[in-house]
Amino acid sequence: MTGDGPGPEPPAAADAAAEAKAGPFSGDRGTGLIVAAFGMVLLVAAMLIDAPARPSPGIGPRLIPGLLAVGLIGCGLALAFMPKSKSEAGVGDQVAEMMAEEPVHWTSIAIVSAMFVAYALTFEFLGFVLSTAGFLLATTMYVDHTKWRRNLIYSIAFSALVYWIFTRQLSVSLPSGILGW
Amino acid sequence: MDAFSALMSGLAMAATPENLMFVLIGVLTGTVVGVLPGLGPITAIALLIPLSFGMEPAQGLILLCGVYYGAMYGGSITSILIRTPGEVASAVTALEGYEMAKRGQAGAALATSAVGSFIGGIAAIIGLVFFSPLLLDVATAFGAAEYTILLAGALLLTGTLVAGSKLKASIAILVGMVFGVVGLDPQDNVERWTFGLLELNDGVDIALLAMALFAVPEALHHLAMRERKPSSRLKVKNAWMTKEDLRRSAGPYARGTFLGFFSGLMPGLGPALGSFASYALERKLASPERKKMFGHGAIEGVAGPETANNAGVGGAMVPMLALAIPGSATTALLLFVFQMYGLQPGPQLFERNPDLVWTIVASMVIGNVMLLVLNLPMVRLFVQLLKVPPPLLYAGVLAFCMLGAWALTFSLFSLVMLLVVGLAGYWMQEHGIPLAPAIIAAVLVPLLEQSTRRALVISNGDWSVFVTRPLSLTLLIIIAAAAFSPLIVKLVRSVRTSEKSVDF
Repeated sequence: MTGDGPGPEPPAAADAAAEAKAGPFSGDRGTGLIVAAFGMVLLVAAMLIDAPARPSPGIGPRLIPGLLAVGLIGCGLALAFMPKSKSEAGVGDQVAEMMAEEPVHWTSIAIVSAMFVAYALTFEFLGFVLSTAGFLLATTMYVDHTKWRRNLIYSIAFSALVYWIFTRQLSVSLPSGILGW
Repeated sequence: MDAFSALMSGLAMAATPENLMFVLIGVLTGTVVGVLPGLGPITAIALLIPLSFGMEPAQGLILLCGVYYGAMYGGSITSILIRTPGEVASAVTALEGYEMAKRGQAGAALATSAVGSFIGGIAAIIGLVFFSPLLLDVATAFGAAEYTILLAGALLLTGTLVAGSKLKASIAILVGMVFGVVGLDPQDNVERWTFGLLELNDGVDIALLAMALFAVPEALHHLAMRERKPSSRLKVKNAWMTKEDLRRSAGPYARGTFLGFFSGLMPGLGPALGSFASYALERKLASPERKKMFGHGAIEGVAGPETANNAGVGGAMVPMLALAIPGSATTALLLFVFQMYGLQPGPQLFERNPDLVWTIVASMVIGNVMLLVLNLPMVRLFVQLLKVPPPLLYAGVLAFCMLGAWALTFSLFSLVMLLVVGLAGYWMQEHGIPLAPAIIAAVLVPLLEQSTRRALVISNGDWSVFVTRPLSLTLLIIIAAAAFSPLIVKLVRSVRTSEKSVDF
């Protein structure tokens, strides 16, 4: 869910269901360890930051990156190994329940993500119209292949119309790709 | 010129046919995007930033501000009719609004929410007009040390007063700060976390970050769910309130305005806190008979939070415009848009571009009037948008993100960044790490670092500069009190509870 304010975490029941479906590195322990590992990589990279040629008084360029990396390691480890504290039931819980996403099977997300990766990588080469139409058709067919006519018309109409609006009306340059227009 | 006269001259400038058209396009587009399930104001603005590239600053900002409150209003339609809020603040509205709709009072709930949005929106603009000059006077007395404390306080508040796990909110803030630090060091010109990629020298674009963290995870999630049909929605006949509805809503409107505006003023919190506080207050103040209605469609639970939500939007604009400190994730994105146009909010903006500031503020008044006038009769038309099949909607959102990312730099690198950050954002969302604090942190950290280093250069490396200046020390005490008060209250309560259990 998008949010203007900070989003509540999913309730415990949803967490458990998510753990069952989300595949490897699921649950707070896995999440915490991945965050800590990310922090470690950043810490090493922070230590490799060059020293300034003429240091100014106060803090150097390494301090804030270093602190952030250490913070991530600390929070990650705390999330992985500290016992969970239960919050009091209230409006927050009701909202958290409403905002909690239904868990998705990880193979499904892998397929959609792969389509998104392919879209990004072919965007410049194939051009906006072809790559977008291909991506829209692939994803809509993956979700609902019974409506293939609707999906096909939508994919072509959307990409052609958006291309026309942005390139001709708003003067935003989009890749023409192999079609050359 | 005092603030009121400035607003009047702003109204005259905002009322040109061209500007009125941008306000109208903004509020309508915002409402349309806000109505779409799962999409909130920040996604709407992030997706529309490419459209504003070729516009004049005033027109682009008028359009995007219109999108902001239009999306807030659109979000409440979705909350009430299908219980799928696009953002946390409207989730509170859904608690009672959806129950009202289930009892056949969808029209009354939507009208209550529209009128509340209008009252909250207009009152907040009046508040903005009178509070901004006060804050500007204070801001001119601020030095680098005071800004550092204020920015650090905003980050701290973002982390401490959030719903859900504090640890996960802290991780979100740290991740956002990491994105904010990537690039050339502003003082020493040293590469930081660029991993040898020249494209990262300028840092990670905030618009790209917003699309990647808000639109991409949401769209990927819905596509992976393979949702074929739109959510079943409740029917609306006419959006109107009875006299009784108005009578019951009057108090919550007034209290919601007050709570929403002041919670929006606090940097880092945004409108969500106001909505929560208003709901809790209305439930507490209700008569025993009305209290029973809460959870079953109490109109007070729609009127209060919805007013607070929109009053919070105006409140959050005050620190953004006067101090360049965003009060919410969406105002963080708006701050970026100002910077994109080469404008730096703060006292200098009011001095150098007063016409621009007051035209934007005045356009918000016009936009709120437009929303009320258009949305009450057009609500049934907006509801039709809920019929859009999910695969078409979310695949289209991803295509728009790709287009937006391309338009930022016209290079494949932006697309790869969108992909990598988007997948990371998806992973964070699925693991309950809130994404809104990450955006606020990404915008705040470069400002924080710059002011800290400036303060230390001025003091020749002496850290006591943050506590020896009376103004900085006062700010430090206020922020510490605000940040640690929930902890102290919790501690006092647990001590009292343990004392009681000993007595028994």
